[in-house]
Amino acid sequence: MQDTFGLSTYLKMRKMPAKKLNRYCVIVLFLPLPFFIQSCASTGEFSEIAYRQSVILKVETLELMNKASESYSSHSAEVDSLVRKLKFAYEYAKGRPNNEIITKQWEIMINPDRNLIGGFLRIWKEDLILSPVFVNEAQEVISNAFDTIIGLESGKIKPSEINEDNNG
Amino acid sequence: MGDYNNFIGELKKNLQKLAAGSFSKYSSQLVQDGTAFAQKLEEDLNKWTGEYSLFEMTKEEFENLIKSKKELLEMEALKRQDLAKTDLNKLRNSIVETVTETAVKVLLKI
Repeated sequence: MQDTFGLSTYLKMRKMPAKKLNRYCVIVLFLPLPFFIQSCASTGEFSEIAYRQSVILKVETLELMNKASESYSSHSAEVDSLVRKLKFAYEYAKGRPNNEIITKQWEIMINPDRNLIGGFLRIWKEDLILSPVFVNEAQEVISNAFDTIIGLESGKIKPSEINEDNNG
Repeated sequence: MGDYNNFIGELKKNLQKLAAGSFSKYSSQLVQDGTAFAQKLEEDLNKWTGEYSLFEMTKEEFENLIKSKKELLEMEALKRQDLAKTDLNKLRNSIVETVTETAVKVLLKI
């Protein structure tokens, strides 16, 4: 007969000695634990590389923006180099597991059709020289935007925190 | 300040028009969200308007700054969304740890 409701298992358990029953309960309780723990890691772990990369790119971006009141053509090589690094950061974020939100943030940051660093560089290229007041205001906004990426990365669960938790 | 109040009044009218045209289902939400966005920008808008009137920036630059603020709000919203998830994960890790410890102590009697 099929043991649909675990009846025979229950009857067997009733006949078990207490010690054996305890061991049985431990197995039943802990069997789904690895699956549960796996589901907990949905926002991904902290990455030292990604964190450093974001901080360095923030500094480099703000430094290059300082030059946007000068002609674009005299800095086009620096712009190209920065764009490559920003794209690399985006691709790196995209390749990490459970990292969709930071990837979305990089996308907003570098997209030339939007209005953070991607849009800023597009306007610089189109207008050739930007006004110092605008550059200054845009730096403030873009600096804050970088801080949201950096803050998010630093808020992620660090491997050491998982170990600490496990050690009590 | 007078200009800013006029701006908010005009903005509400324009948002209502927009809602009536294409987004009638979301009319009140649209006016509420649009006004809230503009109110968050009050200080910046006053400053940028002053700078524009002194010819310190172009119209395109002025527009770009407003749009960039919208992007920043989106970035911040994404950050809050992910941090809430991370906190939840930390909580779950602690729950797993507590279950494990209690099971070992009570069931295995170690």
